[in-house]
Amino acid sequence: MNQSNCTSTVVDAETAELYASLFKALADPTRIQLLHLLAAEGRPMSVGEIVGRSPVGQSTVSHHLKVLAEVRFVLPEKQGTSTRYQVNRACLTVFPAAVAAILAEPRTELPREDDRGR
Amino acid sequence: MSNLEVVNLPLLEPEAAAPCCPPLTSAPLSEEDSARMAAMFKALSDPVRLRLFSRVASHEGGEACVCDIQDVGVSQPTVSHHLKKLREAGLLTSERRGTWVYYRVAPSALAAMAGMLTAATD
Repeated sequence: MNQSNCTSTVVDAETAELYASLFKALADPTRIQLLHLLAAEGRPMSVGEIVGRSPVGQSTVSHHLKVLAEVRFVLPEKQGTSTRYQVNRACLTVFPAAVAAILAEPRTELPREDDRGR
Repeated sequence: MSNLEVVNLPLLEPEAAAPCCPPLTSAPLSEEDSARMAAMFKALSDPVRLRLFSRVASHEGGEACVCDIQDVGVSQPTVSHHLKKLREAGLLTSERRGTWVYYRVAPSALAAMAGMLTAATD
């Protein structure tokens, strides 16, 4: 690959793709609000309850929850016919690491999920 | 080739970045706050822009102009365009000095982004 030897801390193309896809899931005000709600509550919530706390309707909420679930910011949990959602705590800790990596802060270790060295 | 002179300038000091948003509580985010954050994330949802942002953040002295940024695989006008988008999203600030516009990371913006999710783990 095109390794630039100037700084190893700057995100590489592959990492940039990954983070960009995560940020894309947050590139919508409604999704930000939904994630904020779930993060603040810190417990699984039914779609109905979430709808009751949002200014938008059920179909919109369901759509946005699905987008958030695709990148695993939230985790769906089927209960009979309904689905409950809760924030993915693993994501919450990875997220600041992603921001730190983008800022090329050397102090924060990123969890490596690739095995480049093999 | 660029002239690589080593200058010992202080790096970005993240501690100095005061969060511009209140800490996460059960209170809903205001429409304005969520729109602003969404705009920031949107700006970073493009891999090229994300790398450019990272490049500015990690550049000597915490600032960079288009002239400092090469080898990202896109042309200089494209780099300028992306930097402008990052500025419009509130992620970078800019200052014109002579021919070039110098960009630097807006510290409060990043504190807000990181803070949105970290507080929830407490």
